[in-house]
Amino acid sequence: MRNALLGISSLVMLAQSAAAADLTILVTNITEPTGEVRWVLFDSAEHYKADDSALLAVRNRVDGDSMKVTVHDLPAGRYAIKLFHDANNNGELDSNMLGIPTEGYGFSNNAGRFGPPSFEDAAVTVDEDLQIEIRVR
Amino acid sequence: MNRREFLQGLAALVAAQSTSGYLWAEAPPPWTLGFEGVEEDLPPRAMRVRGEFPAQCRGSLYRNGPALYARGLQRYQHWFDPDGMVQAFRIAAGSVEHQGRFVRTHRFKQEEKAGRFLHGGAGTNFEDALPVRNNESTNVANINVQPLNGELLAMWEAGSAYRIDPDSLETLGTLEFDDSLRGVPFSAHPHFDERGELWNIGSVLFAHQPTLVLYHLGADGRLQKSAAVPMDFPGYMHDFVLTPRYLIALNSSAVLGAGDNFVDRLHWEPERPSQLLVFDRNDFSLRATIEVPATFVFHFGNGWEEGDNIHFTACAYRDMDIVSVGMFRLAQQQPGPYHDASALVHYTLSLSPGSAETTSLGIDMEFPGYDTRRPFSAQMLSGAAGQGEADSRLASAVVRVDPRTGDSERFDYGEGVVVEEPLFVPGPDEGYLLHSFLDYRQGRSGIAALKAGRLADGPVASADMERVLPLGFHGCFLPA
Repeated sequence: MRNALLGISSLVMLAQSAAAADLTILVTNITEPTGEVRWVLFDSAEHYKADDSALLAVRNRVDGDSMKVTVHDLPAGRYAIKLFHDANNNGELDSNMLGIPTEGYGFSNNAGRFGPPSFEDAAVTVDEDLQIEIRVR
Repeated sequence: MNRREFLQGLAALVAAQSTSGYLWAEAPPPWTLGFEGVEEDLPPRAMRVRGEFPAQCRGSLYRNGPALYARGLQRYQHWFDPDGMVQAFRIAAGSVEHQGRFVRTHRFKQEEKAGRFLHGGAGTNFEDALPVRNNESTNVANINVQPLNGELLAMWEAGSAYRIDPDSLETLGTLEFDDSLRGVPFSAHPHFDERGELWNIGSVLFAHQPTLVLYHLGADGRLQKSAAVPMDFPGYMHDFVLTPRYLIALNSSAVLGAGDNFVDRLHWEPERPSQLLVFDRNDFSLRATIEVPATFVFHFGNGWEEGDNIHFTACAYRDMDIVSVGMFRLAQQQPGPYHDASALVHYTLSLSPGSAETTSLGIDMEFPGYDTRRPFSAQMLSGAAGQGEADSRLASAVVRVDPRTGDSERFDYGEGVVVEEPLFVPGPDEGYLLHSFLDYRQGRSGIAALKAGRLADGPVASADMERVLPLGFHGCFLPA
């Protein structure tokens, strides 16, 4: 989350290659009507694991129990998304004294039943226009 | 059509069509009625009263327990799993009324909306289960209900307590302290001290560092202090003992390891000693860790001190089969027996040097209760005992025992009646014991009061109804 954060209007043109496609992310099960959903898009397992050098970092104001955002012209490849719902707008995924998250979060493929998933488990292949659903847990 | 009718209908159908007629030829054992579950809130209903409930027993008997066993074709497989329902038996002069209401946990509301179970249970996996945010996401608030500051708390043991309105039984929200304790387990057996202040543990086996959280709440429900203590190993913990100076927890030899769900992850380690962890109530410092042979305990009787010695009782099991086998078979409505009965054991601890002596009292008792006005006195314990239905190990008797001598009295209803947790109600002479029951042959649930010291005489009053309640766990009595 250390990358520059872009607003919802920043639907970024990432590439002009012929293989580029649009990735639409439908975020569902937002249980509190406040704050922002912050999400980051990675194109490598290394950066995903280190939580650094995300290809894209975006924050979207919560308005309802779901939202849809589209990333345009993404070069063909494998991508994974991590997100959390910053319901109280403090910029962090809150956790309790045990380090257990108390705000909502999610991953592409809704992967990781016990703890955070690997890049491989969370990654989706984008080679044509694609819509995925990430359910905030 | 409920599950029983469905199964019996299916049994008849299959038996008629099958050449062997074997597989479904027999109806489920009658005690399995107690594990049918209910699907809706139970609106207030007048009960049939026999005898006269003593004036001291007028008030409300509240109970909690697993109640919602199925949604559609999904059915829970373990007694730990179903959503909690708080039951109220309102006892007045000449009348008793019953009401039951599901605790509206976050989970219950989400699953009600979805029309299906979204997550697995402690002992159940569903194929299409969704990932969870944290332990709180699967809280079913189904173990105990106790009063706090004019409200009730419906408690689970791996998440927050839910606040309940004692009159309407409506769910008011979770019991919150501060952000650092949000969603931290608050176990199902808090104990009140002599000043009405509340003490509890929270067992966090599932964290990277197994941790025991200790709570001290004022009578107003506000947090006085808390502590998080790392544990040597993640042993299952359900209840604890409070004495005037100490809080004692048992790190049992049912240890969390690998597996598909919480119950599957518990492994019995007979070679690993269990630990009695003795904490100072003043500052939650660990005063002693006393090793005892591997044991498994859900429930303790009250604790007291004599000089430098600490005394308490435990309903102890030889192993954890009750959790890993018995509670599956019960919830799945299958005949057993698959586990041993518990046995009442008297512990005497000495802190310098740390040692523990045990004496078996030879009583097959569970659900220990006592006079909570005198939490730190050596006193008679009550409990549910006997095995009216030998293949279920469900109690059929009310028992009362002196933990110092093992002297006991009991009343056994015999096969056909399941006795649930008896609660002590103060009254003339030695007071009363009040308990709920299921008469599975008649298909009726009810409550009964017995005179302590005269248990063998049987109930002085009872009330029942043509409504079958799922067998539950724990509760409290609040006088009118």
